[in-house]
Amino acid sequence: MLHIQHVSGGYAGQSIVKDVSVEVNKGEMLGILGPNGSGKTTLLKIISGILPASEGSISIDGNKLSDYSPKELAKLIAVLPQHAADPFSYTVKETISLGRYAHQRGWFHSWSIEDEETVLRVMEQTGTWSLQDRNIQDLSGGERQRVYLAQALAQEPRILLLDEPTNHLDLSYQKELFDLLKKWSKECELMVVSIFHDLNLAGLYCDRLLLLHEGKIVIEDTPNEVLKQERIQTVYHTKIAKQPHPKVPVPQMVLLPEWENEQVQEIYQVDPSVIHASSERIVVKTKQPLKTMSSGVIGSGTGWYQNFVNRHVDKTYDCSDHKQEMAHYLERNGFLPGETVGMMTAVKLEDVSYKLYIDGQVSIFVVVTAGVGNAIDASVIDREVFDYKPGTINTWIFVNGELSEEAFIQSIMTATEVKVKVLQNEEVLDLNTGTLATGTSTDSILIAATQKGISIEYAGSFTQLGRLISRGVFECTTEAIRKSRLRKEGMS
Amino acid sequence: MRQKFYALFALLVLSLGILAGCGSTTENTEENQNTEGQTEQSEQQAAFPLTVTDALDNEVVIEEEPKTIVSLIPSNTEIVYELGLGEKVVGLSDYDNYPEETADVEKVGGMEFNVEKIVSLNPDIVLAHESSALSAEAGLTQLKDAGITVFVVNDAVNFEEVYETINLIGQMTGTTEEAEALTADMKAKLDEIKEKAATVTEKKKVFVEVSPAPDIYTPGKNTFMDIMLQVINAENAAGDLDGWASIDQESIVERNPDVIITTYGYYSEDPVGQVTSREGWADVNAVKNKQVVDVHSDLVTRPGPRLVEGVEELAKAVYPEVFNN
Amino acid sequence: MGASFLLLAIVLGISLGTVKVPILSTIQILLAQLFPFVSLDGVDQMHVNIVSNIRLPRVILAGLVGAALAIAGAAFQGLLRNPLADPYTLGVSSGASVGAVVTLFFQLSLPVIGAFTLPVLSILFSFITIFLVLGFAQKIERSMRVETIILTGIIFSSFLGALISLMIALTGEELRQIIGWLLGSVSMRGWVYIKIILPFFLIGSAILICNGKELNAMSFGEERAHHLGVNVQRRKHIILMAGSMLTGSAVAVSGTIGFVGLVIPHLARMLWGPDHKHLLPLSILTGSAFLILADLVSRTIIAPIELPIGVITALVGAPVFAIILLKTRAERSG
Repeated sequence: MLHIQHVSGGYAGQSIVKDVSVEVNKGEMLGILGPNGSGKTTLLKIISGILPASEGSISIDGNKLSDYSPKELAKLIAVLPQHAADPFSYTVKETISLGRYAHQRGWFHSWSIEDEETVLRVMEQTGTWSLQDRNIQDLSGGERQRVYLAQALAQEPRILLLDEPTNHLDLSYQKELFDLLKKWSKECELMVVSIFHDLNLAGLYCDRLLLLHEGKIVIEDTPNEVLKQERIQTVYHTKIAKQPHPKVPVPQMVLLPEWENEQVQEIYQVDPSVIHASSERIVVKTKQPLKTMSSGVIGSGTGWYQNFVNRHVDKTYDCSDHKQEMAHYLERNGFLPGETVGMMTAVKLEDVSYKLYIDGQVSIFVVVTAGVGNAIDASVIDREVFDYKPGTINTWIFVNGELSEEAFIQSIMTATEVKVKVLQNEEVLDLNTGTLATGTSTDSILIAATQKGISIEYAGSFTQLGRLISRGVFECTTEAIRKSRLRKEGMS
Repeated sequence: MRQKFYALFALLVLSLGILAGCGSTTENTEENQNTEGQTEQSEQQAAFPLTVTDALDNEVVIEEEPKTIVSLIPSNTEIVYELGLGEKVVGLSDYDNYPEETADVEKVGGMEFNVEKIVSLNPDIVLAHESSALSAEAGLTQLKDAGITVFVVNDAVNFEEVYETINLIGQMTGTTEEAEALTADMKAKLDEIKEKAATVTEKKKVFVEVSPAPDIYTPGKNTFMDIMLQVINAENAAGDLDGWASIDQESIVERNPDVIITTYGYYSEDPVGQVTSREGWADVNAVKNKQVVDVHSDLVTRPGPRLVEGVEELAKAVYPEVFNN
Repeated sequence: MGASFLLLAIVLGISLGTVKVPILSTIQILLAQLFPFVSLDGVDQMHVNIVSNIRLPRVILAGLVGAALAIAGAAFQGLLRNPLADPYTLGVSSGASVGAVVTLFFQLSLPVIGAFTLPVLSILFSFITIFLVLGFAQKIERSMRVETIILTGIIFSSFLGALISLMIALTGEELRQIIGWLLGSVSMRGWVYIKIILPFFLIGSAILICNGKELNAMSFGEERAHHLGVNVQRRKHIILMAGSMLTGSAVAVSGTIGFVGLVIPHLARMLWGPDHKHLLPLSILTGSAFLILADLVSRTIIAPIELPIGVITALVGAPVFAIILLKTRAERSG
């Protein structure tokens, strides 16, 4: 175990690192974060013994670092430099073999079988085997970094220190390097301490993170705890937003550019002028992308979209690969799938109902198409499978304002609650069970916000926005259902 | 010829970035007045104005007998003093060391003379020398521009030229008679030496070193030293080489000279010991027979009035049995 | 290959010269040098003198000086991670030169050592210089980074160079001696000078060769070397001292002979790679062979007139260096 206790140190009597304490366990990866000049590299240099600690101590399994000779230390700690100087044309194997320096004994440093085996093994591990006779000066940045990694591993260290090892490496090499490190740290019980520039990369691979600011520890904890939006904003003096990683449970930090701020002035309102309805599709096209949370066929989930398409399909529509088909359809009609939320309905689009609702500074635009032939009572679980008649309620709510994540979810809740109430009022029955229906099996919802103008934190049914949504969804859904029913009655 | 090497070294020194130190112009007006006062008493001997051609083929007009002289090279200086003009000399080069009175005269610099200083001394004539005229050309032009008569004395390579030089300087300084007397005396002494040398039966092979090991320079043919060796009826061991040559020691040992003359004893300690202690030289005749002699460089390298003295020294060194009585 | 090159150079250096000595005589003389029982009957005594007292010491001295300069150059280039470094970079040669020029300028002759005042003072001055350079560099920065050492060396070189120039400016008759010495030469030194340089050469070379691994590590940078387990501070001092010892003793016996310490390590690196374990011994072999040949050329090309050896090394060395640069450049881009 690596113990760093109350360590201070720096150059020429001036402490850059101040009172840092941290522990690293076997098989653990510790990431060091911090803005430029926060003392990351200095701390690493103190750990590696390049700089002396003016105060405090560093020990490995209880033995003080300062008691080791440089050779003994090199058997314990290896360092992967940011970039090493290579003024002479050593071959890759010669370079890697230097890693065995600390293990060689005697006046003539004789090369043992063990040395040879270790070098061959690390070349294998790092994929530098095929490069072994190449000249180090002829290698690409990524290849060179792997050679130096192999050199460090040839030291057979218990602790590996890395200083922004992925600097100058392209994405695939970054991933490759850290995948390897992660694997080895577990397999070989290697302690890895690495400086990171990239907060997200650090969050992805490290077990724990150490955040430095002006030489002092701000926090030392798991990535989820360390990477808090406010903390990072204060330490790095920049606007940053945090979001979850799509696949693994680690936070990701994203930068907020200044132009995002500047555009706040220009308030853009969504109103009925944006809608273009025909029998084939209903299209809402906004001038700027809206932050959207939806359950559409295309563009579902959270994202930023500019086109919103509700497409009429026939009852006989073959939905074996409806996503692909929908994407082709959108492209054919001049909508970029990346900028578009697409929904489908078998309902006659002439029965659409939309309206702008305003309450003081808050305004919303609601668009509903509804058919209830397929209505079901979601609370009844045991049911026989019947042929469903077509029918879908697609609800779109455009909000002129800046919504929080909570407000988005609450908007969906509010809209759904109101929809259920409307179905009850209109006495729409689940034909299968004979009970009152709560919706149809293919209902979709979309909440889209301009994210400009007034900031709206909540959208529960008691809030200003909540009340507007209740009213808008209630009125439009009622009207749409009635129109649809009227048409059916007229037809039959 | 030796001066040519100095010129070469001067260039080297220049390339090493050495700049001539700035001198100061000090009290010399008093001296000027003194010399002026004395020249008034001297006789007018030659016809002035006089037009002469110098070593660089420049026509030099001397309006009247010079009252003040600056000499830039020891050989000129020795001639000037020998002609009894010592009182007129107001400036000399750093190398001037003969006769003793030269020590009291203002010095104007070495290979790089100080133009300002010379101008401040206000000489009627500056006697420069062919050997250094090229490297000093810019300085000489500046002197001429300052209205000073500059005469470049030719670099004598044989006795006849030395006599001519002495006579020419005599003519220019109004001491024609003294000059003729001096050259006549020199000729007489030289003839005497030649006569004695003719009695030598066994010609000796002489090797002359003008700089100590490891860079041994020796005079080959077309040097004054070679002529001097001919005069004393000796063979120059390096007679096959042309001019001044840095010679490989193997080759010296092979030449096996009977006599070795060194001329650097005035600045290098124990020149004879240096030669005799050289490894691999023990079987060289000169070393074996202890015929290694140092002759003062000034006597044999300055084409001036003491040259004959130098020849005599050389003769004594090579044929002591003939000349040492 | 390096060894056979050296052997060839030695054979050529001994058998060729201004004076033609029959090859059989040469062999006989050399054998007699090694085994006293070999008779020298039928060999011209002059030839014995020339070969054993003039040519042999000259060839050996050239070899030792070339070897010392080349190995010191290789070590300095590796340590300072600067392919343009040579044994003279740190001002050691300027120090040695000042010692020599002071001796010539003041016509010094110290008691007991007498004629060897010059080499002894020269070595002494080179040591004083390296101590001053290192001490000064340490004063500037305790960790003595390579850059600081090089800068300090340059400062000292310039200062000492100015001192030499000053003495040259003030000198009279000794000028030719001083210039001649500064141009460098291995002639007329004899066995005694070999005895002067030999111990320094043996100790210095042995130290450097023992530090080959460390030099390898340090050519990747001092921090890297430290990480690999090298005791950088100590090794740096040892290597600098050994290199300076070699340079100082070489300059002391032969003056400043340029290009050997710069070109030979490059040539050796190009032929046999940069690994100091091989590079250092090979630099010794190549360096000595090169200087023996350069000396041979200087004394035979327009025999019996001798050219300054520094002129030959520069005339050969500079173009060779240019070719090496071009070649490595072409290899890297090609």
